[in-house]
Amino acid sequence: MPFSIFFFFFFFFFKMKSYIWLQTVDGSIQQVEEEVAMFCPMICQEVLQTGMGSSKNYAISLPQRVNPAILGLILDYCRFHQVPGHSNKERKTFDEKFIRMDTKKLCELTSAADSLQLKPLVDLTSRALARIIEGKTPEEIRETFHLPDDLTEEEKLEPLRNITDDPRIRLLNRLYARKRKELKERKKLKDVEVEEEPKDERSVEDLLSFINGADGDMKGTRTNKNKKKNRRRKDHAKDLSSKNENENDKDLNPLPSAYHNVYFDNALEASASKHSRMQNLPAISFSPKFEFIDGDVDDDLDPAMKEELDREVEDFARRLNSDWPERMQILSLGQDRRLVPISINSNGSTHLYTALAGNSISKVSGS
Amino acid sequence: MDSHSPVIPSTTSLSMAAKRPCPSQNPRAENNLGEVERRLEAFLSLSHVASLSLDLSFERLLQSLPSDSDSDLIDRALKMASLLLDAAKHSSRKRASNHNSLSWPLPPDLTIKVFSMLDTQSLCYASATCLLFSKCAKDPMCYANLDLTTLVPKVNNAVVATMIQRAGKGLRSLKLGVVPSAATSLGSCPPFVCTIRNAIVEVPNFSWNDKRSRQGRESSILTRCCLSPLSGDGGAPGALLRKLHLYNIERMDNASLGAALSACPSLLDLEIVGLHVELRQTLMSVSANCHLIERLFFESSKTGRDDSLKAQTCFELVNNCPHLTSLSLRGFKLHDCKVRVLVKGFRKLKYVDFSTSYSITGNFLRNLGSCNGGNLLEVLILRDCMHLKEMEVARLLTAILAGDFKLLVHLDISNREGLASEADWYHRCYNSSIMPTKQVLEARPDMCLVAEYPSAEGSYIETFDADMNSEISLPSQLSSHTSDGSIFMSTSESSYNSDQGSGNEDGQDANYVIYEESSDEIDFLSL
Repeated sequence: MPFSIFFFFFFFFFKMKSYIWLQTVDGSIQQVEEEVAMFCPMICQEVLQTGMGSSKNYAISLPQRVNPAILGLILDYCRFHQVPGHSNKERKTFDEKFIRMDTKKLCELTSAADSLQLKPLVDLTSRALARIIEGKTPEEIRETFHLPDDLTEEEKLEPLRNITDDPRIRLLNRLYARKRKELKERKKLKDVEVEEEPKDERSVEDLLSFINGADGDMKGTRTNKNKKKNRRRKDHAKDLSSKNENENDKDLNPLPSAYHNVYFDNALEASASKHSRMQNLPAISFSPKFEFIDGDVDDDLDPAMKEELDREVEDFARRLNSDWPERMQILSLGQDRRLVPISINSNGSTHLYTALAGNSISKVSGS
Repeated sequence: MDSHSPVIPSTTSLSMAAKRPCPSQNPRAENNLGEVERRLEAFLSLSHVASLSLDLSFERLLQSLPSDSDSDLIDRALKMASLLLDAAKHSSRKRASNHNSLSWPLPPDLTIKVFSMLDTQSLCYASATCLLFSKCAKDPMCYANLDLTTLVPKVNNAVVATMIQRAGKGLRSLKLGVVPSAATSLGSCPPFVCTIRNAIVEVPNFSWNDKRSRQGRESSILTRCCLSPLSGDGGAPGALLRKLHLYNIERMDNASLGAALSACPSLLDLEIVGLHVELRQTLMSVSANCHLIERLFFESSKTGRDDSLKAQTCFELVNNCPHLTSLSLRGFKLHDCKVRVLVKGFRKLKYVDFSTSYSITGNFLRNLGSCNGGNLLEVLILRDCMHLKEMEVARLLTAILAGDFKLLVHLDISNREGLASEADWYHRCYNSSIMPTKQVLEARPDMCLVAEYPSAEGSYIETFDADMNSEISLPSQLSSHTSDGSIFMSTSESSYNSDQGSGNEDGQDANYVIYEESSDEIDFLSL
C-alpha cells in the first residue's frame, strides 16, 4: 500500500508541467513554462543542442539585448500565440493591442525579438515602427526617436530633392550643385585664394537678383533676349507650377489635378504651332537636371571646402526664408485668379463628374 | 587698463599663428602648435564668464586700437570666429553621430528591414533625419518596392532613374504615374475621358502666364524614356521585377512600353491604366517577354475605341503565358471569338473582367462552363458592356443552373444602359422575362450575383442594401478561394465603388452624358 501511494504520487509529479530556466544579462533567473519558452527558436535550439535550461544552475543565458522587462513582454506574446485554438481574428486583435507601447520600448522589443529569432514578432514590430515613421518630416522623426541632428545642410537636402515639392529645397539643391561645379573648376585652375572670395559673394547676390527679377517678370515683362532673363523666367515658372502643386495637395481635389495635367499638355501642343520659340525651352530646362545628376557623383571635395560650401548656402537659405512668405503671397494671388474657373465645390467623384458635365455643357452652349 | 593687458597678447599671437602655415617637422613649429592649443584652451575657459562681459571686453579691445589698423583687426577677428564656428559645428555633428549610434537600439539590418516597409517618400524623409538613418536608407533593400505614384505630376525621369539605380537588382515592385484618386481610377469610367474633354474646352483661355508655369512643370513630367533605367546596367534592375503598375503616363507610347517590358522577364503583375498604348501591341510585348505573368490589368485610355486586338495575338498570349490567373481588359473593343480564345485557352484563369468593353455579345460564354478552360472561373465581371445581349446572359444563367461554372463565386452582369436586345443592340432591355435570375440565386446560394439595371423599375432590381450585404460577404469568399487574396480584394473594392456610383442618380446622368460625347455608337443611340 505505501509503495502504490508513492508510485502514484511520483507519476503525478512526473506529469506536472515542466519548466525552462532562463537567465537575463543582469543575472536574474526565472522559470518559464516549457511550451512557452520553446516557442522562441533560439531557446528551442539551445535546449535541444546543449541540454541547458533544465534547472536553476543550468539556466539558458539570453542575449544582451533581452532585459527582464522586454523578456516579460516576449513571453506574454509567446504565451498567447503558442496556444493552437485561437482564430486569426483573435490573433490580430491581440497583436494590435500588444504593439501599443512607447517608441523606445518598441525598438527594444524589435531588437530583442530578433536576437531570439522570433520572426513573427519581428515582422509585427518592424511594421509598427514603419507605421510610426511614415508621413513624418525629418524633424518629426528626430523628435520621435530623440535623435540629434548630425547632418550637414547639404546632406539633409539631398534625399528630399527626389521627392519634395517645396520649391525652396529644389532651389537650394540647384545652388549646391552649381557651387560644387564652381569649386571643382577653381580647384583645377588653382586660383589664388584672394580672388575666390569676391566670386562667391557675387554668385549669391546674382541668384538673389534672379528671384527678385522673377517678380518683375510676373508684372508683364515679355522681352527675353539674353540668358539671364531666360533663367529668371524659368525660375518664376517653376515657382508657379510648384504653387499649383501645393494648392492641389491642400485641397485634395483629385480631378483638377488630372485636368491640369491634360490641360497643360494640350496647351503645349496648341502653343507649339504658334510659337517656335517654345521649342528652345525644353533644351534650357534640361541643364538643371544634368546638374543634379552631376551632383550625385561629385565626392572628391575635401571637408574644408564642403564646410565652406555649406556655410555659404546656409546664409543664402536664411535670406531666402526671410523673403519667402511675401513671395508666396504674391504667387498665391496670381494662382487664385487662374484656379477660380475650374474649382468645384462638392463631395465625391460622382458629383465631380456631374458638376463637370454641367459646367462643360454650359460652356459649350455659351460659345 | 591693467585688466586689458592679459587679453591683447593672446589675441595677437592667435592671429599670427593661425595665418602662418606650420610644417610639422619643424621643432619650432611644434612649439607653436602646443602654444596655440594652450592659448585656445585658455580662451575657451573664458566662456564660463558671462557672455555679455566677453562681448564688451572684445569691443573695448577693438576700439582701443589706432584707427588705421581697425579694419584689418576686425577682418582677422571675423575670420577667426568663422574658423572656430566651423570647427565647433563639425565637432557637434560628430558628437551627435556618436550619440545616435549608441542610443539607437536597432542593429543596421533591422533598421533596413523597417525602412523597406516605408513608402518611398517617407524613406527619403527618414534618410534626411540623421547620418545613421541616411546610411541605412541607402541599402538596396529599402528600394525593393518603389511607389512613385502621385496625385499631381511631381516625379520626373531623374527621380525614377535615381530610385531604380539605388534598388539595383533588388527591385521587385514599381508603381509609377499620376493617380487622381483611387476611386476614380478603379471605377468603371476611365478618368481621362473626362479630363481630355474638359481640357479641350479650356484651351481657348490659355494665357501667357499659363505658358510660363507650363515651362516650370516641364521638369515634373514623365516622358517616354522614364522606364529605360530598367534595361540599364546590363538589364539587372528589371531582371527580377515582379510588379509593374503604370498610371496615366501620357507620353509613354507603344515602343517605349515594349522596351520596358522586354527588360522584365520575371514580371508577375502588370497593371496599365490610362496609357496611350494599343492593346494589341501591349499584349504582343507581354507575350514575347513576360512568360511568368499571372495578373494582367489593362484599362484603355479611350473607352471603346481600341479595336487593335487580333486573334493571332490572343493565340500567342495563351501559348506563351500559361500561368495567367487574372485577366482584366476594360474599355476595349473585344469580339466574342477572340475573347473565347483567351478565356478558353488559359488553363489557370480564375478571374475575368471585361467591364466597359464593346462588341462583346456574350456569345463567347456558350459551352464554356462545361470544358476545362472556363470551368475554373471564380469571378466573371461583364459590367457595363454595351453590346452584351440579354439572350446570351439568359443562356449563361441557364448553363449555371444546369451545373456548369461550378467554381464561380461572383458574377457581375450589371449595366447602366440595360442589356442589348437580340435584334438591335441599341434597343435596351431593363426588364428581363427570360433570364432565370431568381432560380440561379436559389440554386447557388454561395454565389454573389450582381445584376443591376438602374433605369428600369422591374422586379429584378436588387436594392442597394442587398448589394451592400453582398459586397460585405464578398472579400471573405474570395480570400478563401484564391491563393493571392490581395489582387482579388483590391478588385472587389473596384466593384464596390462602381455600385456606389451607379446608385446615384446624378452620377448616372453624368456618365450618360460622357458616353454620349465619347462614342460613335451612342450617337447612333440618341437618334
